[in-house]
Amino acid sequence: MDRISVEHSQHKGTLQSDNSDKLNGAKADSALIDAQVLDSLLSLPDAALQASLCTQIIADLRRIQQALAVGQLEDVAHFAHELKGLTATIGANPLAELSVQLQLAAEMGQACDALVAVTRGQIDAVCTIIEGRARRTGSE
Amino acid sequence: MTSTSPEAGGDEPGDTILLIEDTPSLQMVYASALRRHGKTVEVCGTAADGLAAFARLTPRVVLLDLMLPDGTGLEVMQEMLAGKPHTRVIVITANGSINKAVEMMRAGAHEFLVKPFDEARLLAAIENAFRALSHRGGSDGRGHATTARAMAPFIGTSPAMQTIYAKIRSVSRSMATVFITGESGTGKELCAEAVHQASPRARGPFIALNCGAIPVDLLESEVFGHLRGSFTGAINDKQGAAAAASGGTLFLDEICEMDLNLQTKLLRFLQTSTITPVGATKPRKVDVRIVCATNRNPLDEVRLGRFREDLYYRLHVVPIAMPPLRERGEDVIEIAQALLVEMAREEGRAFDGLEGDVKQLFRRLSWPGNVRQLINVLRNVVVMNDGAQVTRAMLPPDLLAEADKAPAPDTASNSAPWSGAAPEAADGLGALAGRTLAQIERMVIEDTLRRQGGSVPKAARELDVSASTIYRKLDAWARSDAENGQA
Repeated sequence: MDRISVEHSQHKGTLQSDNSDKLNGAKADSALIDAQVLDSLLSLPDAALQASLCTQIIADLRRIQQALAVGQLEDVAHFAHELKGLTATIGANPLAELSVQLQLAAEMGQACDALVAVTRGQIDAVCTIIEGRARRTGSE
Repeated sequence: MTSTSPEAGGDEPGDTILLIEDTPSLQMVYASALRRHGKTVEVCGTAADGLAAFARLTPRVVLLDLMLPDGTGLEVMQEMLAGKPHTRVIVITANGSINKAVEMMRAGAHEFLVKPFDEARLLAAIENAFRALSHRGGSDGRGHATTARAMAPFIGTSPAMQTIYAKIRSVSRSMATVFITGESGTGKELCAEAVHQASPRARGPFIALNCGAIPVDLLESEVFGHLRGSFTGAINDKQGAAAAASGGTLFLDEICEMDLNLQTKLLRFLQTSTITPVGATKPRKVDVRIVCATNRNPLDEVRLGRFREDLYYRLHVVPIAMPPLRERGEDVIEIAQALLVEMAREEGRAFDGLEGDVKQLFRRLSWPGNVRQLINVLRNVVVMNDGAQVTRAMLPPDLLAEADKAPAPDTASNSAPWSGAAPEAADGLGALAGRTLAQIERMVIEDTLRRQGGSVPKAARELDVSASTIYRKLDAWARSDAENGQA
């Protein structure tokens, strides 16, 4: 009885762990990007257009990510501004807020290496979500 | 997402919409939304390409990003409007650049869209731009006569009024919201009507609504209308002022008297161009230009929490401050002469002018009731007396008593609440008495922001605080204002 109970609870534990991974993943995604906004943006009649938009968003994010790494303060302010508009449009609100801070710091001539690093890291995370979304679109 | 009607343009030669936006994915988002609704779109990513495409295509509507890699949206727009002044430029801007967008509106932009915006908002803006062009009827030569007719009700040639005429002329071609301020009796409604008459919407209705004269409970129904049975006493459907003004201008007088709950609805109306009558479930699109007015200082109302800050910035795009009569120099005599002749004719009197003594006195008075007070004085004189000229003895005794205590005109204008000086500056610390430290902090920050043209980094430098502190406070105030607005 005890053994069964342990096995049962272990089994249950594994299931919970699978579910909670997925759940945590979804929670992490939803913390980074507003799925409703992204869905609405990608609700295009043509699957090819959807895929192409996903690809373009990722390309833009990667371009800005790269530019932030090498740019002078003035460039950082410009690209942070571009990032702000793009991320707000796709529903990546925390990244949009981060880019506001980055733009501000750059405009004020403050050192913003740490902020750039965090922003670049978050661009990675957002790109991963959109790549996942693009894969799902392709397989549907 | 909403759909749009074919009247929104895109079906005539020259109706290609020029989109100038430097982020390729946003180009795709906006262009695909427009193309899905039957529009032809030309896309450019730089100021140089945009200007070249503008010269080649001569589009009537342009969607223009504020920040471009090789120039600013302002420079691009100015170049476009210099050659083709009737082009409708819709400015796209990221949140946080509202002041720049307002600057663009003042420089002649038709409307602005703040990122992120949805498809419905984008299409509504395009629709409005094409509709405004169709109101023009394609006649580029009507401007002069129309503007002259629009200014006809005004009397006065003082420099202060010349500035007002110039402002009315320059805002008439735009859809920009006009916010008229000024003391009672300075002609705010006349100014609103002139803006309407000088605009391409002159053939549409001009609907004026006094927000202070209608009970709070009825105001929503008056503005947005109601359906039969939506509340006790609603025995028929009623079209509200916003729908009645469709195709024309809605003038909201005494806007600062509007209930905070209704301010929230007005803000939604301004953002979406749709109204939902009381009792209705579906919103309805209307095409209205808003002109509003108040005799209060609107920023003070914002500070005191009686007027929503976000609504203030939505409405306060092109401010027109009507000068008080005491600051209009010889206009007081010009107006008095014109009114006197008209009133004498109406009342069967012989008056045709003012004696020199009366003119001197009129110039010296501070006219707290402005033109309205002057009208009342002259009516009194014409009804009670007769003669060729108005003499000092004919004037009402209370006016003469006021004239005896009247200070020199300069002193009078300095004490005017609308003299242009900040009340805090005029009154010193006395103006701060009775306010909480938090209120004073907000006043100081907002005043600094205003002086720095809305730049948070510059204001932060002046106040020696970090810009994020100011952003945090602005955010907290906006949230608190919104909560108060919905309370």
